[in-house]
Amino acid sequence: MRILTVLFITLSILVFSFTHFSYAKEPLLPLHVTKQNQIKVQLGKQLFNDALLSKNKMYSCASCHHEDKAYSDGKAFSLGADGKPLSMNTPSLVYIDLNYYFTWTGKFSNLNDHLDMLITSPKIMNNTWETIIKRLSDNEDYLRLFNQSGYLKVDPEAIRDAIISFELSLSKPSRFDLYLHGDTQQLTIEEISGYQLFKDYGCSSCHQGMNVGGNMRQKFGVMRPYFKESNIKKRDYGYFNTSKSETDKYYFRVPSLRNVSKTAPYFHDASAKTLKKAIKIMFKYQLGIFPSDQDVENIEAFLNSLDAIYE
Amino acid sequence: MNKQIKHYIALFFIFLLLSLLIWTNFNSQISTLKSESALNVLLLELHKQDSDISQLILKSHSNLNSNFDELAHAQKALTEQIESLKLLLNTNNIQNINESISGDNLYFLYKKRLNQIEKFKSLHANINNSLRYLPKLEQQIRSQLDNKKFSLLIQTIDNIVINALGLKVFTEARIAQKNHRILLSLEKMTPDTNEQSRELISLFIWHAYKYQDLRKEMNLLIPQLINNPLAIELDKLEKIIGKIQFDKIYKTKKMRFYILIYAGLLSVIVVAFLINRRYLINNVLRHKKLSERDQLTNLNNRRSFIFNLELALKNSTKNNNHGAIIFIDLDGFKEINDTLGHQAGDKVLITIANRLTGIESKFCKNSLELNIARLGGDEFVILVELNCPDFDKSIIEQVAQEVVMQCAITLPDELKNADLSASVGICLFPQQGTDITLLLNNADKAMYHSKRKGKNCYTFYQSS
Repeated sequence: MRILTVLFITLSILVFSFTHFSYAKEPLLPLHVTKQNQIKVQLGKQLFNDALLSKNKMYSCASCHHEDKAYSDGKAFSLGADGKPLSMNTPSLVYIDLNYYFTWTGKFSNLNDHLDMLITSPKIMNNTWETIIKRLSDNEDYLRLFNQSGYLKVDPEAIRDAIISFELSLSKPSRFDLYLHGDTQQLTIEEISGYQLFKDYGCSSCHQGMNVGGNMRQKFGVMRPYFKESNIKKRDYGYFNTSKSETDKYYFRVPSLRNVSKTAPYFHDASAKTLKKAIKIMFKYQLGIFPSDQDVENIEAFLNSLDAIYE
Repeated sequence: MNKQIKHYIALFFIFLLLSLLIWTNFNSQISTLKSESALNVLLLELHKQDSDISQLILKSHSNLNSNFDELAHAQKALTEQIESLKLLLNTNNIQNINESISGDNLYFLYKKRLNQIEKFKSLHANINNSLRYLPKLEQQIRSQLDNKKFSLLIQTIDNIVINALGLKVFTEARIAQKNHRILLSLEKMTPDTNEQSRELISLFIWHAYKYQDLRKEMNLLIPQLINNPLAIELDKLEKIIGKIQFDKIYKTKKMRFYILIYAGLLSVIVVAFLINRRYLINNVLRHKKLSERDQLTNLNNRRSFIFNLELALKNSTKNNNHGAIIFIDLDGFKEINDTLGHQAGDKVLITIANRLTGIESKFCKNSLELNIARLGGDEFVILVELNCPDFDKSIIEQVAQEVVMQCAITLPDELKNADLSASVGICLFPQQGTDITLLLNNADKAMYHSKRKGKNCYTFYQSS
């Protein structure tokens, strides 16, 4: 009896410690896809591509979020409703559900609020919900679609929900996810060594989690100041513009690295035209390291393996 | 009054009280209090979420968690809960009652905490990077330099790296000071090395200083994160809300009425139960008594005698006691029954029974116990138990003698001409048997012996 008790206690301690060992896991996690209601996604897609949403009926969401560029804009700065370029580079929309907060500075932690801002901002859609609802209610097709999707009436909540359902349906696994799931054949030697370098040099300290970033803010220029004092613009202050706290100066949301090869140019001010340059800037200003060309190439190869697989 | 009617009246009363209770329940404000419990549940959840966040921060701090996904999820959940708490506080109009609780202070503290968590995340990432890069630089420098010539330099760099890793442990301020001194001395050591390694060493020094600054910041942040004022504020809020709710319950008249009715119903049920219990116990006792007594003579009957005998036998084997059965058969009883009738016979039996109980009271002492029973017809039996281990036959003889004498006394009134005597047989236990039927049988045999001897005498059983 006593032996049994001792055995039980040791076994339970072992099991307990194993569950704790499991916490020391990889900094990067494989993608977990959530299924969306397909009818809602269809409606959201139609709304996303419809210029009705802007006041002058010239822009849709898709004007700046191109599907072939992983729903980002190829340009440095997209044009706003007033015809002038926006202050920051257009970010990608894919994997948006994995982000903890949104926009470059991460001032929105709620997609609904963010969408509200996009619709009503005079620089982007320059519209009001009333006009949008009126326009949609006049359209028989839309009324039918809203009914089919299970919305009782056309209101801001329904429109936001449909668009967000569409945005959330965009997540697709990449070759790297298959690799993390155990299919080691998916990555080449260069890509695997790139991943190792990515972890060794400390890129994965910030670009971590399921979304390879997106769940924290970091100062742009940890090791040495990135922005030149003479040429600094308001957008470069980052989260400081929202919080007005001196400690938040130059703090930006760490963007996701999934699909990174398709979302050039890089950084909020589009200052890096190529991925290689972006990696070098990150090394210099964030890590304080000057890497060899071979390392940069390997890391770039690894980042390319994060692209979603489209059939 | 009829018993059943009483029952019905009691049931009716209980029913009346019960319906009154249900009515007051519907009428009182208990249901409104239920809706307020949502607030309590939310506060509890908030508390849990907050402590979860603290736990996750510590996990990340000790590198058990290598990503912030869980922390970000917890932050998101906390945000949602705070929003809904704010909404509930506004709808419940609690601020009107007590000015000290408004969601504003809570919201402010929550914002502050979120900011601290964000700071923690970025600082943690930077510190981890430095910790990863410093050993790497050390290796590069080692490969560049001659091991023997620059052994002091290499050792110093080694020391710094070890200390940097050790900064994770407790005596941080002291190690930091020491590190600072070593770094200063390291700067002085560089001149004799070549160009490339000098560059590397200066890079190393730069990184080490950077790391120290980050560490300092982190050391300030961690205590703030751990003793967070949000939890204290939540505690305060919980207390205030609990007090308000208690006051609400206590101060309503309807609630008091409800409690009064409830207590009344409970006490009525309890009293009814107690009365019923007493009644049942009395009933059972009476029936038990009846079942043990002979109806005519009020002596023990055969069943209770056998029960007592069993007990006595058990006792005798356990305590090494002795005892005897004195078997009594009345001589001439049949003639009385036949000539003077059954009524006269019954009278005789009652008289004899009374005389025998007289014997019982005469002989009963601490060491001696008599138990008289009527087995049936004109047969009586006395169970004698001696409560001392040494056996004294003379006492039993005395008892038997007394029995014979008492039975031979002339009967009163119209029965004085009747001729009545007793034949007595005695069987001892445990010497002459420990089995009930055997004992009774033996006593019976001894009694017949007395009869044959000429009646009106006693005989001890002899096995031969």
